[in-house]
Amino acid sequence: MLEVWLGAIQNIFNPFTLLIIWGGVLLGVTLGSVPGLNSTMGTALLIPFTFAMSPINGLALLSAVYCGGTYGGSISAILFNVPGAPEASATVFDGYEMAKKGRAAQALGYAVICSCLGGIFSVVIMTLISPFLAKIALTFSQPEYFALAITALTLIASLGGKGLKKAMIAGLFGLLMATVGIDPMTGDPRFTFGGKALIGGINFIPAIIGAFAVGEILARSESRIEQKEVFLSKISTKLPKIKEIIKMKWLVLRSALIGTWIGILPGVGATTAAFVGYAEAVRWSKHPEKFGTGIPEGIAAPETANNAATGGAMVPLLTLGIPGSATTAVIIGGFLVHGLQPGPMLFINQPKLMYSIFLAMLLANTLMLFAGLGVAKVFSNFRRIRYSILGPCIFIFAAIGSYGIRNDPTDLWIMFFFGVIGYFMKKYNYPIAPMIIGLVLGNLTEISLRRGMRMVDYDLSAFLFRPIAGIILIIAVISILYSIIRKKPKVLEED
Amino acid sequence: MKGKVIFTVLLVSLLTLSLAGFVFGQAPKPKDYPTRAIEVVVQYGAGGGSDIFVRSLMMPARSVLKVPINVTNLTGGAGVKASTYVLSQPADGYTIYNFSPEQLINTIFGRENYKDFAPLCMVQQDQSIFYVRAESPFKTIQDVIKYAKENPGKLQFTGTTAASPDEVIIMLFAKKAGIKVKYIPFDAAPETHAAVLGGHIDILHEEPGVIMSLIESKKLRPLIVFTEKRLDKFPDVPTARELGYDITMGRWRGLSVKKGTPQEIINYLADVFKKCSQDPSYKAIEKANLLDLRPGWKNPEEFGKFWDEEYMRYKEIFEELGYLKKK
Repeated sequence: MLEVWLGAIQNIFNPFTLLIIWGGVLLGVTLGSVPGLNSTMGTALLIPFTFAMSPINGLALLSAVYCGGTYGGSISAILFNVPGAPEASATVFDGYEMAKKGRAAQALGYAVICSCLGGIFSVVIMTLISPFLAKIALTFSQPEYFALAITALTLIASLGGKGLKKAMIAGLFGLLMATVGIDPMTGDPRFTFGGKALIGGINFIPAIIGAFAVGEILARSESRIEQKEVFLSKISTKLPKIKEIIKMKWLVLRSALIGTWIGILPGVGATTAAFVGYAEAVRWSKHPEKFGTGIPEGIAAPETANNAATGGAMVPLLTLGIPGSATTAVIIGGFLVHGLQPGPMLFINQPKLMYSIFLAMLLANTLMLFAGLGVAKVFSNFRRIRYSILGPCIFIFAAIGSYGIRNDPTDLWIMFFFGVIGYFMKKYNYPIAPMIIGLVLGNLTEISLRRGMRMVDYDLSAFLFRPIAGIILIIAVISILYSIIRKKPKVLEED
Repeated sequence: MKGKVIFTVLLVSLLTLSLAGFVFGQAPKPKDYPTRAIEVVVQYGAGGGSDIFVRSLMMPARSVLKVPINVTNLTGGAGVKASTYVLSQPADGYTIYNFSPEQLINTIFGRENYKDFAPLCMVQQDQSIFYVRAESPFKTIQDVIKYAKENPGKLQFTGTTAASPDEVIIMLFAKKAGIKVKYIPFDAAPETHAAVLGGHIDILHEEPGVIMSLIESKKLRPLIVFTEKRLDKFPDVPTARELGYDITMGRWRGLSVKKGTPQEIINYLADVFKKCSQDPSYKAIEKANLLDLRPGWKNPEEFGKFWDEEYMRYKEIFEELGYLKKK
């Protein structure tokens, strides 16, 4: 074991490899922070180049881009209300609100620190007990996925700070939107109005960008208020004090655990991890009503979870050859160009390579702190522009981000549509976050329920009475009841 | 602070440059085509079998064609989105499309028309295999059939997406073997592997390349191959033909352009890609994925004929399976 580690250290700690890891992290953070570009795309584009490198350098580069890209999305989410990458979708909820209050620097600080912590946590876990975790992950079947999704959906109820009814309406609208497109079980087109435009479904990225960024621009241009003090101030990332992080230790640990675990599960990745991390932060919080108003916890939870998912996603890839996320699926290509096949054989035959990758990821997650500070600095300069000029620029930014995710012009219309929806929701005090949660998790909820039910011949009891799924669902039910009881006086007041 | 930014920019560009230097050269072939960047559209996500196929073939193609080649992933709607996009571009050979069996299936279901495309070349022919996990009680495919006959409708098969070539082959096998089975589709192949390894689903349909490590470590056991003759890699695994079920199938991968593209461009591109398919960098990936076992190359004419044959074959199967009753 020691020999393997020494070999790995030798592999990684040479100038060229270190430079590659640093370059990869920097590239990843940059790609992540620009809407329309993300780590999945970045790794896919880099694979041809890794062909000419040694396997260790090539894979170190790809994993560094992966780690950096997962964090990078939060920069534009916080500064512009536009998630730079899908993984940062949940960071929009509190990140931009906090920036609006003039605390962008602190928001960026929480995002980068928590991303590092989450990433490092998951790499350590992955190094210690990879094969064991992969085995447990395989015991998760459709009912467990369903329970996980449903539990996160119950967040809709807890998030309806201003009114449960409005939150429910928004959440259900999001779920409805998630059903558009080809039916995953039968292949029939649904709600496409006979055309080809909606056959690919409603991608949640243009919808989020529309509802948050475009909706905000519309609302602001109507009010014509300049928030000078916020936008003309110089911003640089302000790292939170250690005391402030220690205050959040349980939240960070919980998010890191959730993120790592969801990363390990095949078919769900960092985006789902961020939403579930956020949901649980709200559930266990003493002041859930403050989420969505721009509090550090609302940034720490999703950012810890999504970066924890990067290490998690590598677990089934390295032990079984099953990628735990979209980007790790691309990274398989990085193994293949060197004639390596990720999976159990590689783990046995090439332990040094495996541990070199672990070490590279550990290093990448640490270097992310510096890369994050640098890139955030460049980006935050944009915030010094007046909103009457910046607003239209964000609009262009938003359009590029929406189009770039799939190169599909329909996504631009989806962005405009949700922009208008977002504007009216803001105007009539409907919370937007529940709609996004419904849209993001709707697919997983539906497919796991329908697939699972087909597997057990539509016997509901066989579907629900499984130990893990059952426990998760009971927690969900209790928390719904609890939040309704607790909210009751408030809702009455509201009506 | 400015120095830091400049350093960053320098570093990134240096890295990019040093990487770009590794692209290997080949003899040029001057023509009035191509003069600008070519876009290759892939209807599946980055990192999947089709994406790896296109990207690995385009690596050598860049240096032959001497223009940038951009691979675009336009996913969703079983490829309908990507097809619609390709057809919205002019028929000038600057938009190349990764043509897959889904286009034929979509035509059957009336979502698009494969006749709108002109065949360029077929490059790969993969092989379909059924597997069980190591702990499975099924040792041979006969055990599977016996169990399915005793428990009609209980046996579960999995493959990627609904009404896909995976479902076709599973259902065709079930029909020929006289058994009733369930098909549980997943959106992405890795999820199917996990479901079978975890024991949640009995039988996996998959091409061997992507799960080689799982087969070699004996976590997955191949039971039957749908090729003309047994594979050297698995000499003990019988072919469907040997067992009396005349099914040979496997996912094929090739390229097309919009119909109306000048014939000389089609022939030229087919020629270029034939050369690229012999390139060592492409060959290495093909070998690693076990894609070199069946002859895959078809020229434009052969590929076009093949489309018609495959279309009729799928149509027949879907009619037999009762999927087309509503039409």
